[in-house]
Amino acid sequence: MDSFLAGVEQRAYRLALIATSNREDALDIVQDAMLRLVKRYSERGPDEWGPLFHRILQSVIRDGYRRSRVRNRWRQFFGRPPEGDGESPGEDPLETRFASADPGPVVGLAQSQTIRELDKVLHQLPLRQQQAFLLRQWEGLSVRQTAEAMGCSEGSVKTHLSRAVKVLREQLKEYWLESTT
Amino acid sequence: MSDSPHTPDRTEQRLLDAVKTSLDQSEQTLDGVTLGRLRAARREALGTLTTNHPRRRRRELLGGFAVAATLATLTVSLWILPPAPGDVSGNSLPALEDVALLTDAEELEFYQDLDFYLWLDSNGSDSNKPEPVDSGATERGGQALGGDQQTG
Repeated sequence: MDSFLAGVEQRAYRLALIATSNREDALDIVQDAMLRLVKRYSERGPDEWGPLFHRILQSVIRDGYRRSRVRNRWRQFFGRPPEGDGESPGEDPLETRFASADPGPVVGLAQSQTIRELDKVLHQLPLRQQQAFLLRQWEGLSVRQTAEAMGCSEGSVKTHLSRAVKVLREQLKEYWLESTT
Repeated sequence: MSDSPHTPDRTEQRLLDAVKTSLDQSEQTLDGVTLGRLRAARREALGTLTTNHPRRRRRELLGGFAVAATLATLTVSLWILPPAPGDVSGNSLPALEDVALLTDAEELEFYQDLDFYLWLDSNGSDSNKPEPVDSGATERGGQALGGDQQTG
């Protein structure tokens, strides 16, 4: 179980961070998902942990996403800026997300900017589209596995994925296709 | 993406590949603090395996049930079984007292009225007739027995 969790925790954190755009919320989500998996399913076979963890994680992300939206609505109602990593008013959490990260010798500024740009676009997607896209394109799950993780039908996954790809293509085309050609 | 609603063209596929590559890279750029907190979260989750393992919990439940069943059997036996021949001093009563204290599930009033119950038990075994009792015991017994002595 330890090695399984060690293998999925970073990606789980990124998925949660893209959804919530808040570091603390993302860490809470990952911890919650880990706790639920260990408490409820540690006796299951290791081959079942992956799909179970995906389902738990997506469920916790949905809950966290809703809580985050409600909190932000109330913060805006009281004239305060939405929550994020940035503490100063008006600071974009997406801009500061990787500010404390040590990029290392290989990872350069252009890559950080690319990641930030991608995160921004992904975060703006409706949550279901975001989940469908990340599970299918990044995690490499099949449509059926994605549907199980999201708790919806396979048809819904295809619809969400198609819309997500369309938005990404429109919004990233100029930036990405130019930089990758 | 064979089961996706459409087959992406070359441009779209290039975009999707670039997105995937970027996401993979983003996973490698997490800072030390975040990685440390993820490790701590994992350790905490795994820590529940030793404290809340289902098998362990089942064993604890079974153990608790066994202890409760033993105490209940002992208590019922002490109430039902007649005292040993010639035992009119109520030697079984300290054991009853111990069981009651061990179970620790009775109200405080029970312990307050315990002397009266012990007296009632020792006198009741000699005769079925109710014996006259002192006023303090009557008062306590009246409360404990729901006023039966007042009507009887």
